[in-house]
Order: sequence, then C-alpha cells, then structure tokens
Amino acid sequence: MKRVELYRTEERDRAALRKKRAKTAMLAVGAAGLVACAVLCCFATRKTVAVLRPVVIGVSILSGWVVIFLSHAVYGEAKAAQTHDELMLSGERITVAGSFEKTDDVRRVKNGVTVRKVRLRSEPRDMLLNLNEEKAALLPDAFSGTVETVYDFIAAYEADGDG
Amino acid sequence: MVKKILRNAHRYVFWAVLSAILWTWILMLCTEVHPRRKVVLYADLEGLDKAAMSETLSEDLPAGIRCVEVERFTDQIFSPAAVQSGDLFLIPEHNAEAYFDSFAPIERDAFSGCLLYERDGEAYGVCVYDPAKGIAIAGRFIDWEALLGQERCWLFFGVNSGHLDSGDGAAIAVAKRLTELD
Repeated sequence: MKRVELYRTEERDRAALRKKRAKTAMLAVGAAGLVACAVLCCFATRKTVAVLRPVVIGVSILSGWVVIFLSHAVYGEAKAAQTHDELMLSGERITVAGSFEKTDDVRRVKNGVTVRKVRLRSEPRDMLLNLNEEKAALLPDAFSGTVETVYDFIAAYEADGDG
Repeated sequence: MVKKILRNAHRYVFWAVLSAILWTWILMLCTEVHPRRKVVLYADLEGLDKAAMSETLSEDLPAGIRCVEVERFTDQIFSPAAVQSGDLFLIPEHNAEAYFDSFAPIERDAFSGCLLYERDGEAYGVCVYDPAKGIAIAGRFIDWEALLGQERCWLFFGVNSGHLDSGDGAAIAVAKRLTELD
C-alpha cells in the first residue's frame, strides 16, 4: 500500500508567492492610476476641464477595475490557497478507514477553497469528508483504504491494493 | 472567470460611481474661481448660448478678474443664494419688479447714451433689448425676438455684488462690454 500526500510545502510557498506578486501588482496599478489622475488634474483649467473630466474618470475607473479584478481573481484565490495549505500542513491529522467515494457535490466556500464532498462508508456510521477541489484529480474516484484528515479535509490517503 | 466577475459586479459598479463623483468634485475644486476673481451674470433667458457669451466676455477682462461666468436660471433655481451672490442679471421686464429688491443702483454716467431702468430718481438697470427702439445687444448669443417678442429686457446689478463701483468696478466694466456686443 502506497501513501499519497496531497499537500506539499512547495505548493504553499507558490501560493504565497502568487499572493505577494498579486499584491504588488495591485499596488502598482492603483498607484499608477492615482498618479495619472493627479497629473491630469494639474492641467485642468476652465477651458480644458470638459475634455479632461471624462479622461480622468475613465483612467480612475479602469485602474480601479484592474485592482478589483486582481484582488478577487488572483490575490484572493492565492490567499485562500495559502491559508488552506498552511492549515493542512500544520494541523493535527486524524486517520480514518473505510470505503471512499467522490461525490458530485462541489461547493465554493466564501474567501476559501472550492470543496468536493467525499463519502466515507465505515462502521458504525457513514460520513462526508471534504476534499480541496484542486486536489480532486490526485484522489481515486472510489477506493477502500485509509485517509488522513485535518478538520475533516482529506490530507493524504492510502488505498488498499496499491503496489 | 466570468462568474467570478459577476459575483463581484457590485464592487465594479460601486467603484465606477465613486470615481465619477470623486473626480468630478476634485476637478470642480481645481477649476473653481473665487467669487472675488470672477464676475457672474445670471440670465433669466432660455435659449441663451451661455458658453459662447461667457467666452466672449472673458476675452477682455478687468484687472484682477479671471473669468466671467454666464448662468441661466429659472424661478426654481433663482434661490436666495444666487440672488445674493450674482453680480449681473439679465431680466425680462415682466420679472423686473419681482426681483427688484435684489438690484443695486448705478451711476448714470457709466451708461450715458443707454436707456436706463429708473425708479425713485435712481438708475438701476440698462436696457439690452427693446424692439421699439431698435436695441438688441449680443444678438449672436440670444435670439431676442424668438425669446421675448416685443417685451424689453434689462441688465441689472446685484445688490451684494463686490464688483460694483464701491468695490473694484469689474461688474460695471463687464456690463459696458456686454452692451457693446453685437
């Protein structure tokens, strides 16, 4: 039986780096937009303001939209991934044995990772465990064996019969 | 990706509205001229080309004045604040009495040769349109006949203006320039 670890420190570090780069990009774009608008305002006179107003507003809106996009599409995702990976790498692990089957129940946790439910059939009761959807491809669709969990998230598994 | 953007659509809309309001206000502050450095003319005339008139009057400014603003007003926005702050007023004759308390007397000599609005022995306004006498100043900015027909129109001076003879006289200078426009 071969144990498969779903979480690695390298992935956590990559997520941290993505988060840092996204933050830098957000600050750079935001600062550039603000400076550009401020410089344009310096050229505002009663004659030029009618032309400058839509330009300044347009630059501000566009730079702000880029920052917003980076914050939720890149920074937010990277932060959620890093936080999750740190939790999984440092948390106390509990080993559970039984039959496991991935379900179609996939949910997105607000400010967190996307979670797929995994059904555990064991005595005395069945239960649903959580699986980070990004790791779903690493887990067989159905198997018997043991899994290590942290806060009900599957962190590693060992399938019966693996060579 | 589209779903992510749609989930955060409220942030995009909020930022767009906030940007428009904020930068409009900032640009207004950047271009606003202090009342001491401008002459404001309020015109009770719809159809006035206020931008062109303002630009023309601003071509030859009295000392210390940066611009001449021309604004239209209706009875709804002819608020006490506007009455108190305006330097010059273009008023059709039928409204002259209603707003008379807002106008200051002027020196007759400043507008010798002009038809003056007189009351109690004092001159308060200058006639800028009188079809019977062939008076029609600034015709390229105002279609007098279409707007007023046979009714006269007068140029009055704000009672609280800081640009009359008791001040720097800028309103008088601008009024003289206005009466010379064709």
